[in-house]
Amino acid sequence: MQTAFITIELPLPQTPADIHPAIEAQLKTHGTPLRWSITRITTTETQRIGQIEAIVTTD
Amino acid sequence: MLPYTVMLIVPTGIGASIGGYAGDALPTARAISQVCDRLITHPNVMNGAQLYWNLPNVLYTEGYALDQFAAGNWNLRPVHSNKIGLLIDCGTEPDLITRHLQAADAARATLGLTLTDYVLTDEPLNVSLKRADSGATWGTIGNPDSLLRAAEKLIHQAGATAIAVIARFPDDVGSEALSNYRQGHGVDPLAGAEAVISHLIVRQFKIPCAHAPALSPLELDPSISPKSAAEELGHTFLPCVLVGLSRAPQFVEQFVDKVDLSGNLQLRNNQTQPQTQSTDIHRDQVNALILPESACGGSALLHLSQTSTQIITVRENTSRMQVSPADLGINALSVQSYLEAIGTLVALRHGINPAALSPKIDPIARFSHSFIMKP
Repeated sequence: MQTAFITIELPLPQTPADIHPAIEAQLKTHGTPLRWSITRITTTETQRIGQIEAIVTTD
Repeated sequence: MLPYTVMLIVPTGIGASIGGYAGDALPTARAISQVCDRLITHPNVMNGAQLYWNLPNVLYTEGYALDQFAAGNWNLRPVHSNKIGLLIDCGTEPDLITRHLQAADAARATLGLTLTDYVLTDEPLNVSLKRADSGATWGTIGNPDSLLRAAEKLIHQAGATAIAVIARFPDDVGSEALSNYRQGHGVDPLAGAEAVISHLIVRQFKIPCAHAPALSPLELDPSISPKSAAEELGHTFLPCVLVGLSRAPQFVEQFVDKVDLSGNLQLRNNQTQPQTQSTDIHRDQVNALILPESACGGSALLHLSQTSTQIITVRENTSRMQVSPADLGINALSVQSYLEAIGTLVALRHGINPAALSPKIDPIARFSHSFIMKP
């Protein structure tokens, strides 16, 4: 197993209930999420972009 | 009597102005514990290195477990005591290991805690530290498998029901980050890596875990901030961890996916639902969650915002994070201070709307569909 620090940017769903699964799904493309946080949100005219920092594990 | 349950979160490694140092959120936890029946909080809040305070109604719950609990995946099961297994990084110098063993023996003889025989990892853990663009601190482990092998030995051979990890951390003597932290205005450079260590064990073994970094002694500095002073007192940060783990709740995995219209439990993956105990705590029993207003981008908040838990955010507990509930479209009650949060809890607990304590109260209005439902 290895641990890796990653950062991603993700358009956040409008519905709060959809935010967590959207982030987990995106992080899973990099590994198994261990710990993460949205650190900042940038709002444009059409969407909110979340900056997410995370530790994932890979085999 | 219906217990009133509060969760208090101060994420570690984000430079929280209250709770980002050496257990400086512990007074807040002590105060909140007096206005609720149960307080669920995590090691970063309760750990003051050599300093700690035993609060019988506090459930010392590691961050990964908090997230699983908030998701409804795990329940918390209070215990009378745990057998703590000491897991020591073999990359630690022998004298420093001895200091930690003496701290463990002191906890056994002077506090009456139960510890199993200790285990050394078979490889150095090789912790490395990182500071992210946000200003938060993170870290990675060079040998996570060694950590997990040691934990497995403690749990399955030594009989440990909680794990205290001591990992050798890089000495950062003279660095600006460490200096800022000791002066009470930086971000804890170790915190992010500490969280990764305990998260790895909790994820794998579903067992209480907390971490104490092993570090070389620092030079005497008369200008240390009071908020960081607790970490200057001794040779280890272990005592608070052992006290916290001694009665940390166990975790009960929930396999109930949903309840059908007939009231039958639909289980996930054909699992058998473990027997519940009357003292088990489910996330639906959390009446309020308190956290810094700028640090709402975490998993637990996102989960609990979808339940009936009242979210209370504290404005004056600033941090390097920049995510408020409003940024996420989540409703929360915003207060200035933890003192105000405590008053709010008293009101909520007794069924009093906090808005009724304001000098101005608007008349009741007729309900109108003044918003458009989003698809």
